[in-house]
Amino acid sequence: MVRAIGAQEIAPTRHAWAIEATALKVKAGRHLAVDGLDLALGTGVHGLLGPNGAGKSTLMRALATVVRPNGGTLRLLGTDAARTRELRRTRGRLGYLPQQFGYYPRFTVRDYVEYMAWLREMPASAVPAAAQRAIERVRLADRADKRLKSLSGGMLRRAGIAQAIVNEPDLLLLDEPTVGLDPEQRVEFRELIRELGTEACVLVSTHLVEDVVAACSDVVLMDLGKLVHQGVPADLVRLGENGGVGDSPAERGYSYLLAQHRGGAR
Amino acid sequence: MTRPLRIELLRSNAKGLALLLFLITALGVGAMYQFWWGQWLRFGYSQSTYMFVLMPLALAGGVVLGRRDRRTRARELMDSTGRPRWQRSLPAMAALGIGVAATHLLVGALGAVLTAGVVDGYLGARGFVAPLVDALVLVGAGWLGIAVGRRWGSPLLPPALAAATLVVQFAVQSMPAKSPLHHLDLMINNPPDAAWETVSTTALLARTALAAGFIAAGLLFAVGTSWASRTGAFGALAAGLAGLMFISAPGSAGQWQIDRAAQALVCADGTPQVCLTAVHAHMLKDVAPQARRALAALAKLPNAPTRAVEVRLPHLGRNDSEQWQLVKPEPGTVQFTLEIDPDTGKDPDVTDSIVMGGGTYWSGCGAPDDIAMSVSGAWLLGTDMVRMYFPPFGYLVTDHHEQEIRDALAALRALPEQEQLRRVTALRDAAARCEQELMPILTGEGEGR
Repeated sequence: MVRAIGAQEIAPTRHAWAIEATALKVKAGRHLAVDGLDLALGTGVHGLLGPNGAGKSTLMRALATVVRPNGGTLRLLGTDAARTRELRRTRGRLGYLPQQFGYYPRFTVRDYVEYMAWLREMPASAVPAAAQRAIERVRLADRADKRLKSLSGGMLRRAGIAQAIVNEPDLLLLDEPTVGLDPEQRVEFRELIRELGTEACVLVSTHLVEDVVAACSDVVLMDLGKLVHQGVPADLVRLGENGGVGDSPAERGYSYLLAQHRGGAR
Repeated sequence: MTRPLRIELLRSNAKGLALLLFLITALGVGAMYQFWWGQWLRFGYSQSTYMFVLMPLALAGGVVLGRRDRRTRARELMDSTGRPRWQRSLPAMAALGIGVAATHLLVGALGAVLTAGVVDGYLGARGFVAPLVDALVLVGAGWLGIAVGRRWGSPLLPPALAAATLVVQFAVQSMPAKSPLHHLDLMINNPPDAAWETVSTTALLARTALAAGFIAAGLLFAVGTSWASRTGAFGALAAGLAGLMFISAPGSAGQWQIDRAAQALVCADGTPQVCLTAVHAHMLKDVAPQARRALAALAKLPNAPTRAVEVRLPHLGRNDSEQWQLVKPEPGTVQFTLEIDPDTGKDPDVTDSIVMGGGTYWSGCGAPDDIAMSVSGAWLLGTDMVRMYFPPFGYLVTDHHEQEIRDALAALRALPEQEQLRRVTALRDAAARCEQELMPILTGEGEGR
């Protein structure tokens, strides 16, 4: 498949970070779920960890431009997220899998991925091949013409990932992507995001510390809307030697960091 | 846009809704086939009157589709994409619009095929406009439903809205015909009386206003997010409903008008001349021989008519059987009406009805003396009886007065031939002068008076 490449696609980027947040505040309803977050993420796979209520999903929604920040600054692929009119082009370079992944049950996998490609303003001529490639990458080619309502939970999640990557986004946001995947599928998923992370900024929000350690080049830990820690997965393993609870060194490192942060906060 | 539209056509409820509307219209119109068979304008009425139920269903179907994003929680994902809101709305709205409009036009096309293709009946251009306007009303109702479903997500909303729309239409039926609210009912309570009556310009304009209001309101509600667009949507909806209420005129005069092309005479080849209106022209082949047989029978009388023509009302029908007998014929012309048997699609009494009263049954004088006219008709045909068909009642005169007619006919035939001819001619001339007492002329009781 050969397609013409527009000047826009080969233009050099003018931003240092795919995600650049400064003193970011985002509300979830009336609650300030993200409270003064400073974060800068570039190309690579970043794991976003944190307990329930940490503000991970609210942050993901703000990064996906679904909700507007209530304070601070947020730049996505070099565009100020507060400037709604300029976001259209940026959204075309985004991929997003929400935690509560909505889909039309009567659509087939192919329908759904092609429809999302259209919504992400891909050129019409590129859509069929891109959709096929995305479906193959999540290993759903044999189910491509099955209706979404007939798929298992894990297959649905993979269809959700397919729609998120169909436009080969520069910024890919995956909120709890491995929910419902079996161990084999999780391994395949890790391979996929590692591959995607070579050219794009991939942010994966998850509760599964071992997924982050296995697949991510960078770890971001949040609690109560604030950044607790940012570093490499090896940091978690190393910190786990200091204590904490969990079945693996990384989990112990994760709980140790949270305990330290909460202790400090008191 | 082609790809998402194709997907929506295949996967949304547009297909199911279109099928539902098709089945309801087809069943409803099919149940009325005896009324419209072979007559395109009457088919149009039959289809249009079901708008009272099609419109609420299109509205409810739109709500179901509009609720989809909320029901499936897909909105968050959609909101992260670059397509502007109005573009995102287009595939679903277009699919629903195409579904309901295509269905309505398909039923109309089937009617046209049945009329022109099967019985070679008349197709008037105006008859195509009405289903087109109604299709736009359905599109607008569907789009309005989508907009409503996007804003209010209750699962009870689709049935509740459909039921409420139906209830409102039934409620306004009880209002005085002159009340503007009465026009909110899309059921047409006064069907066309004559076959050449077509939907009036005011009725078309009123429904066009409703369609425009629905479409504009649906677009503004579904696509716009500002207060200005919402206010505009309410304004458009109000304007559409106001247009329906105030452009429409009450009664038959507001609903129907004469299609002059449908009423124009079409004559059979050959002589003597036999002409029917264009809407009945497809029956000429069957009617002309019967009418010529009648003209030949009438030729026994002096100064007999040489031409048979279908009666044409110069005004809208008033659902009054006598109105057909108040139209004066042209000199040398005998008039008749077509009473079509719904089972056969034919008029079973063309010859008999023309010879009634020596060709004066439809002479512009109103209700005549049926018994005397039947006797003279049978005498002219040389038969024992003439049988006039009055749907849906059948052969009323014969059924009730058969023996009386037979007795009078026997008495007439007992007279010398010249006297028989003289009396029947006298009856014809008296009937043409609108005299009411005709039987004494045949029996001779009126002699010397």
